[in-house]
Amino acid sequence: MLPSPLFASLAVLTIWTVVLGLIVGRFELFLAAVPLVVALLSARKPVAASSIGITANLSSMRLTEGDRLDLVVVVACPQATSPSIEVFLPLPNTFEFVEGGPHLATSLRADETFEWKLAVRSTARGRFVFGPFDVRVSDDAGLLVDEARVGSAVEIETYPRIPMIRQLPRPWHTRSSFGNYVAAQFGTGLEIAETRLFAPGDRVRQINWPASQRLGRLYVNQFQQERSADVVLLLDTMAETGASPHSTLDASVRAVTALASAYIARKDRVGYVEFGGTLRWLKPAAGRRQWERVLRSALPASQYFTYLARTLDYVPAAALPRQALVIAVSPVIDERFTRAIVDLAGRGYDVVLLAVCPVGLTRRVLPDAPLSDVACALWMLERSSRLRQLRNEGITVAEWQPEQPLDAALAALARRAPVRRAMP
Amino acid sequence: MNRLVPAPAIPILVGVPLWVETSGLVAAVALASGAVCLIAVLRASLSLATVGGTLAIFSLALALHLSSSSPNVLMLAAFGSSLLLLVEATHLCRRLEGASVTPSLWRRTIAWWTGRASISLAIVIVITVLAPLVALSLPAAWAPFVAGIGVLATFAAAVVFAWPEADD
Repeated sequence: MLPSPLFASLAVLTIWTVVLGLIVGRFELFLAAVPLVVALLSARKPVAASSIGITANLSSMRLTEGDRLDLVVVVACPQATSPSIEVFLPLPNTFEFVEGGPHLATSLRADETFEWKLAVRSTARGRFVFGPFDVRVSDDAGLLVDEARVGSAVEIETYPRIPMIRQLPRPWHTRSSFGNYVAAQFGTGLEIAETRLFAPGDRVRQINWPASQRLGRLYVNQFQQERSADVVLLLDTMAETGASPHSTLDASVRAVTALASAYIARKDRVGYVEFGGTLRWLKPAAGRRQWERVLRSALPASQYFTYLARTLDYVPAAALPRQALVIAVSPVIDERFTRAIVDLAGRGYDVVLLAVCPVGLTRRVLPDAPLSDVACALWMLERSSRLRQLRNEGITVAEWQPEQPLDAALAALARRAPVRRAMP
Repeated sequence: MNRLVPAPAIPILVGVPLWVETSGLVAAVALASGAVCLIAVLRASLSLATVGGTLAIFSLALALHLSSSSPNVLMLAAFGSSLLLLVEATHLCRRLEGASVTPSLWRRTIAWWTGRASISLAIVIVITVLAPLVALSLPAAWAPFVAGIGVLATFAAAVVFAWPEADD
């Protein structure tokens, strides 16, 4: 428990009144001091702030960017009457209030509760913690206060809003397990490749009965093999520009989750590598569980600056299979990342670079001045030159302006030609 | 919370010294106090409110020093209550800025202010009535003893006030 600044202020005014009354020798000034003295003497010890009970009920623990979250905070006063209770909600700055504010002031009698209803909107992806709440209790006069942190923390996850993708870069190499890529080889599948004469050993279910009846001999269908692929999504967290939730990293995470969702829907195995200050990876796997794993791994991705020269050599072969299609999502700012993907392409990997354009996102946060326009124009020129250089080094590049649909950027890659590299 | 809640105290803090003694010096100090109090109210600054309040006390002391007549007791009680309103309401405005304040807190605060102002007024009236009676009934030589009893009573009140704190 501490005296508030008001206590000092009242004490100063009281002392001045009494002292000046003595100096000028007029008792009337003492009468003017009476309300101040009464106020000082009315100070009472407030109930302990730690005794205030706070429970937060959230409408959801998992949100998507832009979703509304309804909160009901129940404030309870189990002990004596609390003339003034203030509750502060420590809200992360990626949330904005739709209804209410972060600060409540109320008065509660013993065993009374108050329901504080709030609505907030999550504006950016990430994993956040709500609470504990800061509570300040004071007496009626506001002269003595007690403060404490009350309540337990609640973790909330905000997932990126995933854009729909129809056009996807097709992998060069496929795996024999069942998938959506129709191969030239015969095997189990749905697409009929050819019809031939029945031979001993053929299954009865493969007989093409209409053809057999028409031609008077038994014919069987042969199907094209349907295969799947390994796709590794490589996220660049070396550099980030723009302001959340419209930074290059936010756009990259949206692209990674959208690509993971689309490839997993095609029955491909998807892996994830975060290349930055920290190197994290997920081995390729298929299925909805893997999609959730990728989503949860990409969720807290943040730029972490380091002077270390990172390489992908530390990533185990199982997490970066030789036959995998590697889709690197990067703003192409840090040379260490571009060196890593050039090295990967040089080692024979099928590498596609989805270059997230940082210029527009950075321009948003720059002051509206001609110098900024010139700087951005120069940056665009330099960037175009760098991307041309990467194309010459054997990397398939698709440039994506985050303001435009991701599908439009990927459409150019859906029918990409095989990259021919000169043999050393 | 509206920052102008303590504003009604300013005319009283400026007006009472001028009512007691209308002179250029008093007017200058009173207007200076009013200006500082107004800035304090607009900025919801407790430290500026304390400075403004101190200047107002200076202006009243100056007015009393220059004046030979005795001012109305109610006016002095109003002056003291206005000082209290100025600093308390400024502090409250600062504390509750942007907060969702429930009606129960408003009711309790208003009741508390009203009750305390009434008690202060009653005490002022009692003192005003009792002081001349005591002065008449006792010889002038007893004055230091009465003052000593007052000091002891104040000390006892302070001890009573602090006693529950010592238990914790």
